Amino acid sequence: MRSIRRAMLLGSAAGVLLILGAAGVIVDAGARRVLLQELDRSLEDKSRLLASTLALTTKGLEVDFAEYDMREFGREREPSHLLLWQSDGSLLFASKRADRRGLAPLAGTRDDPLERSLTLADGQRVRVVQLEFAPRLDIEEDEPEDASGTHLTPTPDIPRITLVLARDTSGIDATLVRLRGLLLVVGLATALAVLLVLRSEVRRGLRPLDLLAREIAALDAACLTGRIDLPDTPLEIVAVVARLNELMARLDGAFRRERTFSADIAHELRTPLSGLRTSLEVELSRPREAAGYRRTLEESLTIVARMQDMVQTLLLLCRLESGQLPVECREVDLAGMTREILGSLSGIARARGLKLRECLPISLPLRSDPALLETVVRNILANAIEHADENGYVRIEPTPEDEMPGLRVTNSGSRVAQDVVPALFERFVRGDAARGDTGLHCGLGLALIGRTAATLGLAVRVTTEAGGDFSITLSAPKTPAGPA
Amino acid sequence: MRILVVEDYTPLRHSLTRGLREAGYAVDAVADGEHGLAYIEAGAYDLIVLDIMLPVIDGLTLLRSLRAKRRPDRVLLLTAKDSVTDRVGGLDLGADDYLVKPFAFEELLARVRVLVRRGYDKSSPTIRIADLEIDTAARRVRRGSRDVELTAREYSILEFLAHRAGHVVTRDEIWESIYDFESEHGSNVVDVYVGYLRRKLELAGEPRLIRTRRGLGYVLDGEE
Repeated sequence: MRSIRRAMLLGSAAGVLLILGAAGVIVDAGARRVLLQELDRSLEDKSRLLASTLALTTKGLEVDFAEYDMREFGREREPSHLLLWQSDGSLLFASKRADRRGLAPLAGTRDDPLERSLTLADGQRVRVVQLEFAPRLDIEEDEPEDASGTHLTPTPDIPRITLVLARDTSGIDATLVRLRGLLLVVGLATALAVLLVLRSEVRRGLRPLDLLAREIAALDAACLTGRIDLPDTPLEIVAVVARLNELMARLDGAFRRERTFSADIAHELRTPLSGLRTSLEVELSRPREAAGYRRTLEESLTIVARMQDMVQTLLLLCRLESGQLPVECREVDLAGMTREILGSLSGIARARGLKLRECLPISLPLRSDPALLETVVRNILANAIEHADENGYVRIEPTPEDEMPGLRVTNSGSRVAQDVVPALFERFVRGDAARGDTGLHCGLGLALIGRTAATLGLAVRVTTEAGGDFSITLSAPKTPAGPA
Repeated sequence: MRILVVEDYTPLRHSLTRGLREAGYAVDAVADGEHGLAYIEAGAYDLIVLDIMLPVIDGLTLLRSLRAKRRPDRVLLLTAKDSVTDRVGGLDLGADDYLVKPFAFEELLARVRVLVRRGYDKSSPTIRIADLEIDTAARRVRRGSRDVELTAREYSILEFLAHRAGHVVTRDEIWESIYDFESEHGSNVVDVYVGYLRRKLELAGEPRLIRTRRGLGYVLDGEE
């Protein structure tokens, strides 16, 4: 697995070694250059000094090195070499053991000394200076002269002489080898020290990441209430920690809602399921008349129908909340739709002894999705008819003129306290302090009304007075068009 | 044995009442906590089967109210809530047992039997009086080496007497244990059923088990 620490250490180590290697090469080249420059200067000085000993006399070229220290040309080990070449290529002078062939002058006329490095035939590595010069003219004053004062002995032509001076460089090479060794040792030691420091710093620098990893590892998937809390969070991961905590909070909320939702569904389905099971078990516990079985089957069917309604309502809610339900708006007559639904529910209202008062105008045009609007209106009316007190009333009227067009459904005998109203549109929340008629009212009706109305862009408002009236007002949005 | 069922879901309440009655219990059933409390205060129940989420007064409030009055009624809680917290909460309030919906009716009957037995400080499901052996779990009766076939009502009266063996039990007490509030009080119903019981339990030559105490009632014991 890829490790940030290892990658940083390897990268840093490679960088340090590269820098130290480059520095070593530069230092080595510099040192070599300085040493060779020193040697070249020394060779040039020596060359000029030796060149000054060569004189051209009436007898020819004369050289006298007697006054100079010439021991370096005669020693057995690592000797220097001196050669004087005439312009015709003939050798005027060569020191003992000089490699005449290897130290032949380079062609061309030069006034400045020419330096180069050579390896001679015997393997000796030397630094060579080649100097071209004219020997000093040395004519005696008492040479016979003619009447006009001109020397009778003719002055010879001054030849060009090339001096080749070679000096062994094994000392410099040895010095450079020692220097390289020293650089290598110092470089490796430096690299090691830098790596140790880097390792420590990388570890220290990455400690917040380690802590973050530990905090994340310690988070329990089953309990998402924990948050990442790093002491002295570095600037670089403040945003990461903040985003992770936000994500955790969102996940926690989502999981909590899901858990509550699942528990609510399970809870609401358990009671009718229990009724169904007990009813069937008791019925089957002994042989009975056919009429008894029929009654139990009818009761079971009623329970199943209620459970099916609940499941369908939940599915509709889920589809509404996930935006999977297509909304197709067109002109709808809200008053006509309400009367039609009221007609289908009037039997239930009669059975409960309720008085239905419908005072809507002939037509109440509204732009909305007819199917979804019917769901909202049917649930509002069914809610009012089911929750009105026995022999009470349900009133359906248009919204007041100063409000947006819509309808208001009011039922008598409210058992809903005002402080419960904000939570009324949540799933499985019942308005009554203690629930009645389990299986009939599971707290999904108002949730469905609220969610569907929101999808349609309609406003829903609830007012209640415990023991008095409970009203739901459904009105058009303040903007003229509903959702597309 | 008399049981009160407090459950607001009508189909379940009806099924429980029917099933428990068929098992030989006298059952009263109400749909909310307020009526439940009134029934408990008016009658003596061997067991209360109590739903938690009820209208008007919820089950836990009712239970708390009973325990606050130091009433020893045995309570079996029925609920759709199955979390440990809910169960512990119910038991901590003084419930004797807890059953999560949906449940098998056989399991409910078994728990009812255990709780009823516990009310008479009986740890074993078998009651022995002389050569009479009553298996309250299987609801089987044997006298000596023979099985005795009893109807549900006869069995209920016998078990009621057996739990109070050696003590005189009045006719009213017997009547209350086998009939609920909906039943009409017949003056000689108890005597008739006790007569049936005697005929089945005390064959010719067998020692008597159920004796009549004139003006008082009946006593079940094995003494000659």
